[in-house]
Amino acid sequence: MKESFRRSMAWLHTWAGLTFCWILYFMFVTGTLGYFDTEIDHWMEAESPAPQTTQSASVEQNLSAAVGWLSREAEGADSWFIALPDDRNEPHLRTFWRAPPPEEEGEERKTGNDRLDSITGEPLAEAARDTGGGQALYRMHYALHYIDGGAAFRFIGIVALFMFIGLVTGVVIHRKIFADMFTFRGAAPAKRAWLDAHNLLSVASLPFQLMITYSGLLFTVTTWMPAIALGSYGFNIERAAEALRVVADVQVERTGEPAELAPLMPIVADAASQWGGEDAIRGLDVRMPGDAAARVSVSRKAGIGVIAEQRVYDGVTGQYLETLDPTSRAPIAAASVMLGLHEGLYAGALLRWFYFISGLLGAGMVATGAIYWSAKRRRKSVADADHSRGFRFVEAMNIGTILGLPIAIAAYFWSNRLLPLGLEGRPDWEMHCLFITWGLCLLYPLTRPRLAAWRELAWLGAGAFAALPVINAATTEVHLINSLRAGDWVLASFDLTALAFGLIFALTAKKIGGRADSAERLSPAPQPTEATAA
Amino acid sequence: MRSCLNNAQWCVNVAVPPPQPIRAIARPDGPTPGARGAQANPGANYSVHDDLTAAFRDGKTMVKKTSRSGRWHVASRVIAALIPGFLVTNTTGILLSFLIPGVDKLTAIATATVLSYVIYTAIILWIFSVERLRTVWLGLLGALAVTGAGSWLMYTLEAAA
Repeated sequence: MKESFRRSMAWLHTWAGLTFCWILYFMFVTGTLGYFDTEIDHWMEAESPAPQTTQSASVEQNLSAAVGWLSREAEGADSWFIALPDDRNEPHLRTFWRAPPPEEEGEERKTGNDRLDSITGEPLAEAARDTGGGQALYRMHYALHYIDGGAAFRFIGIVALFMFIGLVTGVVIHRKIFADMFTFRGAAPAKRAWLDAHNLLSVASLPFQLMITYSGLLFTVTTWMPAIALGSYGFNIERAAEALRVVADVQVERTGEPAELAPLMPIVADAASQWGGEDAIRGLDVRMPGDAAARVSVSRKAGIGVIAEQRVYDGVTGQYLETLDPTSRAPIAAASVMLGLHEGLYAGALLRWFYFISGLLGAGMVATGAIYWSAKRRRKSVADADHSRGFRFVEAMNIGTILGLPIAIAAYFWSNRLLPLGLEGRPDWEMHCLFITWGLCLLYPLTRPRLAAWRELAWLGAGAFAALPVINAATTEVHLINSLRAGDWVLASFDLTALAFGLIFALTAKKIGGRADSAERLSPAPQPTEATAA
Repeated sequence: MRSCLNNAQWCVNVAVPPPQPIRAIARPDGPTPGARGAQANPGANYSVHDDLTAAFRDGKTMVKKTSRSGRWHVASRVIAALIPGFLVTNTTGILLSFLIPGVDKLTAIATATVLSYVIYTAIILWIFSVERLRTVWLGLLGALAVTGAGSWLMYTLEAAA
């Protein structure tokens, strides 16, 4: 019984992992790049000055700059949000606003999102180089591209569930999880070596993979599992909404009676005195500014977590009303920390690199799993012509995705430097370049023998990444020598990382080259069945 | 682990040869030429994985469970996971939100919601580990009835109170 349980779990592990393996790989790679999203932004907006934290301005200066801007630009808006400048993640003062819902259906609701100079209150100059930046790359790991974001998000939830099932069954079918950490037989027959690589990558980074997958799932919990909360209130949506208000947002109805907005500084000062200083404040959310019903809520920085405590004030009198703290409930606090761990916004430079490496290990886990699957079936498909067509497709997808996606991302960076600066829809074209390149990389393996396709695409990847610093030097002033001289480690690290990836691809290509030669020399005769040789 | 994956073919309708004694697999008579030979002779270097492989190649575990193979069994289980499995996840969550002791209602709801994917995963693992399809479907429908009725009862009691 125990054996058959293990066997069925092994089957589930194989298919849960394989069904969406290329999308999982895509999610791992693009999501991992997200840990350096603002750094990639900086490289891609080459002409913009390095983001300088405007923390030198006082909170009061920031507030008056933001309110001045919003009063001019967003009068009569339903909500203003002011994010105070903080660190890497929010280097500038930023304001968002949202107009009332449009009266005619089909019209788009007006919104604004601006980065402001903390002292002058004027919006910062737009980047000279119009680009999707690291944000567009990172957003794809949950919103994909070319399809509706909401549908993509639902789909991504399913894919993440498959990943989670893959992880849990992977642990179940391991008998000696500790021993496997130290087992790597690189010189062993290919498929055994792929299995060892798969085990090594997965087991070594298992805590990270479990965390990142379950927290990823938690992002979709309100999308996929709302029925639990609703059902607990007998599916009475109004009652549920009322009860869940505490963990949701401040909701205010407009009265239509104009009233001047209370000065914000005393409100912020009060919140700061409760939370031990102005540093603890993340931002302000003003609902119905200029209306008698106005509310101001001040949100607190949440440490690792993403769900924050808020103090709510009357927006006309400035009087303190209530504190909304969803994280006072243990499971919400736990979820908040999980989501925060997923985003890693709290992480400093060193931890950020660990995140990056762990994410790449995750991508490697998916990739080695997929390669192992096909390595194990290769001989069978040689004997069976029908089998071989589907198998060929899987092999081509493996090669075209595992190597093709990184090459496509390099193409995205190339296009950032090479597309004409005045091109209409430039960020869109950067993305098109990525997907066109990926598409070509998917087709290429169909035209070449397997190992040749691996080797040649690996060389292409080596060239594509190693050339990035060169193209950068040819097209901008922010090349490696200048960035090193200026001590701009963010820019320099981008170029150096590109070189490192070029080197890794070159070593991979060389390694495959050696394997291809020995395989050709040996040219084995086909064998009747898998089982006798396995 | 490797051999688990090999043996996992029971569900994909692949012809598998009759069980063979372990020795015959691991050490075929006479040398085999070329790379395939290297694969057929795992050799003296292997330890841990060979243990695993040997344990698995035990004749008993090699017996094919033909009754469980076939596309229909897979499709049926996938449907069971998608529809009744998902519904049971939700009804179990709702029931949990009433039953978790010692906390207020919102905390209980949040706990059940945060755990929902753990519950769903456990249900899916169960669906794919049970031998008979009838057990899968009866089990799921039974669980749906019990957790659904339980949730309704708890909700009615709460509303009356």
